[in-house]
Amino acid sequence: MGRSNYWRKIGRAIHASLRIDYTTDQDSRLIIFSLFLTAAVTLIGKLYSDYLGLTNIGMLYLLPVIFAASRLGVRQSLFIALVSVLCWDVLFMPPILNLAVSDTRHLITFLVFMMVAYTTGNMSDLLRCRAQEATQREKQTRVLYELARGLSAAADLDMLVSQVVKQTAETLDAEAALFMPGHNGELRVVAANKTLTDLASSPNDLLAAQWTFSHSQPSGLGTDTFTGARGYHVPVKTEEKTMAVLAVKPSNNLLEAEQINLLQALAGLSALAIARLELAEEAHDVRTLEASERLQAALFNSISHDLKTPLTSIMSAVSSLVDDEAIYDEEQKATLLNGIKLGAERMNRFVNNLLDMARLESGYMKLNPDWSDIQDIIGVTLRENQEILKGHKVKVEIPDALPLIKVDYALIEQVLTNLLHNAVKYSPRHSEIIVSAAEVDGLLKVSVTDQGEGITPGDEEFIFDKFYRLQSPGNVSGTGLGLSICRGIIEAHGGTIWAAGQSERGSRFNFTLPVAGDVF
Amino acid sequence: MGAKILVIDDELEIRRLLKIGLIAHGYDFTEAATAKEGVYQAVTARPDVIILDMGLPDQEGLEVLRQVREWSQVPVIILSVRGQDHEKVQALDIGADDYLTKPFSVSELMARIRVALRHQANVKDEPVVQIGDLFLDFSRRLVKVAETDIHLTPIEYDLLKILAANAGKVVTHRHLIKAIWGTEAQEHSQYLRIYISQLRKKIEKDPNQPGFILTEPGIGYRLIAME
Repeated sequence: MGRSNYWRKIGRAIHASLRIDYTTDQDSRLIIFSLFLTAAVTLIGKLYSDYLGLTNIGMLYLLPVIFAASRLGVRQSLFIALVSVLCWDVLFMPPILNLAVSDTRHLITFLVFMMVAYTTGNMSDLLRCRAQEATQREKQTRVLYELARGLSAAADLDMLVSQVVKQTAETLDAEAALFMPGHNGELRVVAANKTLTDLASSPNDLLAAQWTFSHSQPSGLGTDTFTGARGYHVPVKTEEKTMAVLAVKPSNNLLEAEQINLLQALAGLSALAIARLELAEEAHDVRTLEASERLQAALFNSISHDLKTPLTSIMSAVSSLVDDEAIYDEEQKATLLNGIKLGAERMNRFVNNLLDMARLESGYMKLNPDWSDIQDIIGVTLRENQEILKGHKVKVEIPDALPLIKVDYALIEQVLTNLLHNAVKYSPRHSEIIVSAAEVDGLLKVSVTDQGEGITPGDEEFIFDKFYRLQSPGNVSGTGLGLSICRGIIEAHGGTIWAAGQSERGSRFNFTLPVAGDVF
Repeated sequence: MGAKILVIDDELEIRRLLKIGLIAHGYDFTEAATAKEGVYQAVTARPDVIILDMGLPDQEGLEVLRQVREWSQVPVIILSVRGQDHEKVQALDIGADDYLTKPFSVSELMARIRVALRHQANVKDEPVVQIGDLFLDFSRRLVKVAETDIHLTPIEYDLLKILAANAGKVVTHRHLIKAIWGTEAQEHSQYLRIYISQLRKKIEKDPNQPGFILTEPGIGYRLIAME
């Protein structure tokens, strides 16, 4: 061991004197072996000099040169060639033990020696270089592949930036940080690996990052801009714009060219990933905005329609009475006046619904629960809506001794009112509307059944969505707020509401409310 | 001139319409647009009924009611908007006689005024009351519906008696609970619902759509008045 170390040191020393920075143990052994080979050739040449002749010994000296050239680089092979030529010249060529060369033709041989060493060494250098590059490229590809996989999995920006920083730090064995502009447009560190206190807080690095961000060029460590920065800053950019700055501080404060290449590739990949996320977000925002704009437009149309229809009937009736009172008889006047009353009632209902919706939406709706008798609520609702229900046969089916419920009376009344209006709206005149209540599985179940057109199968759930009816054709007035308000109120009471198409015809709306325990 | 009605409301349009309606029904009309003016008018004009809007610009309507009640038992009918149940109950508890929710019809208001004036003129209990088919004789503890004797439990009878004494006027839950159980405890609220339900089953033709005892949601009950 000690001896091989000794030789290795010599090998390294030789490499060092040849100004070769990077030497492996293998290289050290090979250069020593080449020297041995030269020594062996010298020994054989001395022993058999008469038999071999001067020229052949020279040929033998080519062996270590070619060996060194093929296995090592151009400098090593030139070194061995020089050693060989010296040995040959001093030890074999007359005058022996003298550098002088008597026959100048031998100088041509020396030149050939050097050319062989140079050419072969160069070729071998090139090969080694290629091999090294291939290994480097493979490593780089692997790293980029890993990063790409990590980035494509990132669902949001936070995950993405931490992935970028993590991969960069691991790959380059460096501290890493990512700067991105915040809402105010100022750059700030959005992600950094844990050791990175320096880079994230140093003002020089922030300046370097800002410069890199605005100029889209690297700065900081190893560049000629902001040399005081601790890290190397590289822009994370797509073709259109710079999105962030990736900063790294290698552990040995030194970045190789290939590491810089790798870093730039990482930055490029990160830029693409960030751009992808931003585009996805923008697309989502645009879709949401479009949907909400459509909804707004539909809402305005519907509200103006719902307010203007009764308003129109009121105004036309009023203007008839005001301007041409004389031409109407008493019966016609009564009809006009009744029209005004109905229009006003309709507007009042609509405004109430709008207010309820606003309360529900804003979370302002406070329940005011009190002990209530569902029979009583149904009775009041029917009384309040008798004008509207006049054209239909209303049947109430309530068994004796239903439990009391603790609910907000006015809100449940609103639910029933909306369901009854729906039933009236969607069923023919003189048809039957059944309001029933029953206790089912410890819940109070209330149903409103009509004999109207029913519900399109598959729509049972959607009809409770706000403004659902706006999307469906038809000439029935209303915003489609009613059912959505019903759902809001019932769910606030801890109940459920659902619709069912009837087996024969018509539809049935049901809701349940929790029974508030036994009273007696 | 008929009875004098004071309308305290900041809305000019409403005062104007009520003026037409009230004068057409033969009442004497005075008005006030603010709480301060309303109290002043109540003192100086000596109205027989006050119609008081709950939302006045300078003071709560409740405050006007409190000030008026300090020295006068003049009937006060509250005007409020939907959703102010709590304030309505508060107003009724500190002495308002009845309430109306905006928007209301003038005929409804006229009915409330008539009931208020009747109670004002004749506060003593009438022993015999006839409302449609419903016949009550409190001197004999007798209740009949369409000539048929109805048997009521003591609490049912007391309930009906209180409602009949206030016929046409709303009676709050709290008022009924206090009169029957002698307590303000609201846990009796559920018993009240059940007794009303039982009472209705005995006297109403269709308990699903009661015609005698009407529910005023969130406020109380009202036995309809014989006009």
